[in-house]
Amino acid sequence: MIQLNNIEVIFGKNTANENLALKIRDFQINSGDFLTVIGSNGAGKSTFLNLISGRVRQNSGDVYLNGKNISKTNETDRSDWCARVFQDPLTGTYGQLTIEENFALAMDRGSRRNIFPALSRERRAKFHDLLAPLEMNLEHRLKERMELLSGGQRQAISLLMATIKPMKILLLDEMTAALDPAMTNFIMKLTSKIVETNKLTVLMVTHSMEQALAYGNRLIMMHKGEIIIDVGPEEKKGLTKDRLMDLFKQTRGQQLDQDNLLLSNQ
Amino acid sequence: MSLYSILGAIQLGFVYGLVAIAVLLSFRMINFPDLSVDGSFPLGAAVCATMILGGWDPWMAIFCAMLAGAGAGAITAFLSENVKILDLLSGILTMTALYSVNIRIMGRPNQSLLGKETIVTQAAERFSISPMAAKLSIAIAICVTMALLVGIFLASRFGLSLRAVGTNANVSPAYGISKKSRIYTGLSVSNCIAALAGAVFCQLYGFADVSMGVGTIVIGLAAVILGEAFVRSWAPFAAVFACVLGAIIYRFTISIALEGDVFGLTTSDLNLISSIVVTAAFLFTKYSRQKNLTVKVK
Repeated sequence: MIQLNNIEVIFGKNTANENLALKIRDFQINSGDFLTVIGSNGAGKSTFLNLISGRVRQNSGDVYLNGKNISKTNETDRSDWCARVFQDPLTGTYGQLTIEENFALAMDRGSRRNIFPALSRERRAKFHDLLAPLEMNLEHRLKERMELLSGGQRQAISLLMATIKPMKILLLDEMTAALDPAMTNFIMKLTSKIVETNKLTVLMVTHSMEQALAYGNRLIMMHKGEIIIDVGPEEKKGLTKDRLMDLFKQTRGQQLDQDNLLLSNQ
Repeated sequence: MSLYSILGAIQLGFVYGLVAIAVLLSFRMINFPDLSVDGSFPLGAAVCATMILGGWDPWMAIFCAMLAGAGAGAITAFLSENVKILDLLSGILTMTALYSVNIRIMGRPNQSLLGKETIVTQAAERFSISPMAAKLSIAIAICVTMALLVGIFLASRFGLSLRAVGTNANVSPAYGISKKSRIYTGLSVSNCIAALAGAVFCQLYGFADVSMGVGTIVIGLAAVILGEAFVRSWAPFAAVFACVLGAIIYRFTISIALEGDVFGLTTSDLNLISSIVVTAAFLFTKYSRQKNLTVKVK
């Protein structure tokens, strides 16, 4: 479905701070994949995700969607088929707007925004029905501003906003990084439910090895801007932390020594 | 205050209510500190006066003034979004350029509409009312109509996306909202309304002057901040009508300060009073919000 060919992303090109942030020779995301992306800080995980969403433009190489070259399209264009949940629940939504206004904005993703009222009785009923199963009592707080909600509540709403309209791929960018363990668990269960129900293609960036192993049918590990390990569905079923570290050692000839990656059990 | 002063304050309050709506759109809704309003207000007046003196219909003159204002807004947006000049500076550049443009349009620094047919003379004749009543009715009718239209616009799907860019521009592309197009639209509509205010002002008071825009932005901001002090809502209609209310309160405050003869103030102290009113309203809003956020522990 999404094909990346000879991609290079260089930050600060032709400056003293030039940095090769991403280098991918040939990579494909298939329809129905739930791909977890793991790697230490600076490995290129977020850049990889930003490349697919169109937020970051490649310096060389091409991006294809179902065989069509979309290398020159930007994030706004790609939002028609690409939805995203941001890492920070405070900056990933519209804090000064109400819950129902946030949902209304998400409802119009991929369609023309006209002069019809953004909020209608039908839309409010839909938002109510979406929020009720969360059992957070948010369905009765539709007119409250987003900034009044907790991080977990906002992230749950972000997830519902991202998945409210059909899409080809859902990008999850370390979406539980700012949450406590209980809320992380809740958000991940909600994610699994939504992904299974809608049969979504997902790309989830995480720092947590536990999450990377527990979720999805495919795992990739990134290191210094390159994809160094790509574990397919069959191999991933029996994959453990130790096996993953062995794979890293085999590939790189060194120990995986990033504390944040090894210690993160969320 | 005499009845004449009260009616005068209400009338001018509604005219500056239009400026307040313009400032609300740029400063609050799209979060763009646009100073070009100081230039588009006299631009509206200049276009309107020149067209009326050229024998055009006064309503057509208002329409063309609005178009000119929208163009000025689009230029500010171009400087900011395409040329990538700092937003504040983009507005200042347009405002500065408009000073010369306005003199070019009028052919001189000011124009008088004495004895010419305006919307005031038309309304007075058609409804057989005094010019004073006609002026007040026109100011109220145009301001309320524009407030309703802007309220409807902001509550629409497109309007909501405009407010979204002002709230969090970083996340907007992920929802398919282009910041650039919203800045263009927001600034064009904002300056269009500021030019409408200038055109209405010109016809109500019978003149256009190149320096009539000085301090317009402060009046608009004062109205927005005063309105927010009384009506604390981010909802489109409430926010729009709050700033119109703010403009009227502002005009009353100024009238009382100048006419009361308590502090020995004269008309030349207008800008000083304006700044003091804005600062006071700002402090009032700030401290009342802090008070609301404070949790009382027994």
